[in-house]
Amino acid sequence: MDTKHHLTVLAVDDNPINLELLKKTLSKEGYKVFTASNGPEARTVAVENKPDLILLDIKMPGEDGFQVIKKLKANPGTAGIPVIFLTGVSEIDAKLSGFELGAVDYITKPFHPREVIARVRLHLKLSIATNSLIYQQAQKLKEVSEAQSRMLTTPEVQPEANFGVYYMTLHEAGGDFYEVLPISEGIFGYFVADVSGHDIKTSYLTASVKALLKQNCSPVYHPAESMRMLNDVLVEILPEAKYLTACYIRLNRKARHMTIINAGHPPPVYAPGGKDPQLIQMNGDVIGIFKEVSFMQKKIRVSPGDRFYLYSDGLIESLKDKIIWTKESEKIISACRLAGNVSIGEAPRKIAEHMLGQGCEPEDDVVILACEV
Amino acid sequence: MNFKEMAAKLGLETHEFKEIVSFFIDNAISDISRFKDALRQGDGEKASTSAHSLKGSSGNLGFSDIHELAKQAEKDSGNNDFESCKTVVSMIEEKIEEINKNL
Repeated sequence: MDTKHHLTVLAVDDNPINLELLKKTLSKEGYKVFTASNGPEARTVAVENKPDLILLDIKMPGEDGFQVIKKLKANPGTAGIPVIFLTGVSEIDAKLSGFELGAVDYITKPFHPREVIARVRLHLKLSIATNSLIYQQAQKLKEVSEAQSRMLTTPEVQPEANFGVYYMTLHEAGGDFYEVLPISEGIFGYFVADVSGHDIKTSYLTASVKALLKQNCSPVYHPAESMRMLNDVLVEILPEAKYLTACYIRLNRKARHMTIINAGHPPPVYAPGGKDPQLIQMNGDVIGIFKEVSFMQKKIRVSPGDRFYLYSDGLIESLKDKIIWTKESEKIISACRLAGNVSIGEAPRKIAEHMLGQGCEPEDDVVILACEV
Repeated sequence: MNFKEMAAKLGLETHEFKEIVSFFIDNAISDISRFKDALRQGDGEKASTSAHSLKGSSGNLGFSDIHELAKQAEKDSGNNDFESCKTVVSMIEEKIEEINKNL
């Protein structure tokens, strides 16, 4: 964990007087203050100095505060820094847009330095608490013993989740893992992951990932945030060069949408009721190697009867001959098309049979998870 | 003009506040000069930007009368009402001069 003594704040405002006032008052409170008078300068200072918090003026000539925060959030190195906007009184829309872009708070101008100090203090406290929680979780999980038996859920245990699964491991310590999480009434999380190599004891890792998913996949976090928190802990506990690829889908049956996060995993298949299945291609970092990661998040509107399929790469890597992905993707699509004719419980086996041939003898671990809205 | 009181309101020592005020006056003078240039050129948008800058700094330091005048100047220049701008800017100049004398 970061143990540096000084907490640092970056103040960004094109008005030099305001900048000086912010610098003076925050310095008096013991913060180390960086300043920038325009957007590009702010981003450079943020990347170089990784401040603990950023105070950002919205109305600036050239690159305005909105453009700055977008770029900060798109950069894994600065995405986690809390940003407080400085806005004029009349800019209600600006405030809302600011929150949507990831600001944690706003301060209305003319600002009072004491209010600035109070809000900075509050958000630094929150940020420190979150980081310390992640650290504690990592510490606890380091102590999780091998004795913890791995527990994989089944469709029978969670009938409301309406899913089917095909799971086959070839190794004692299989590298594949799946989980179905009840998040709230009508909201479930579906997770499929593949661990690089097979030398980590699954009992240990499965229990850890399962516990982490339970802790971090809650309605208050966006799916991408949940995956980032999972990454933050796994970076601490996984041996060097070990990582997870994963695909996580949060399905809200009440609001009828699903949100997909892909962390370096094969693309999931979405099969809208009565229509042809399609691969959902997205980018995202793998989990457990890099301290700073970014994931694309895709939201799709769904209807009852729609299905989606998650699978591990054992399904596509098993062919002995060298294969090209385009051909394989066509094969997966046609497997999912065939699976559309059977119940959701039987669909994963149908896909396995189509992909691997009758008798299903994969060369690697395979997991296929199917879900119907 | 009670600098001690104004400083205390901001949580600053009087000498710290005076330092910023001195910096503020220099900036205000150049803002006003740019504002007047823009008026001469009939460039309402440019004048409005200068007034916006002055509005921001005066408000945060607690010079509420200048803040209100600058707000008016920003609005008037945005509407290309240059006659009103001239009146307002001379009022701002008086206020700045008053602060400078007391510093």
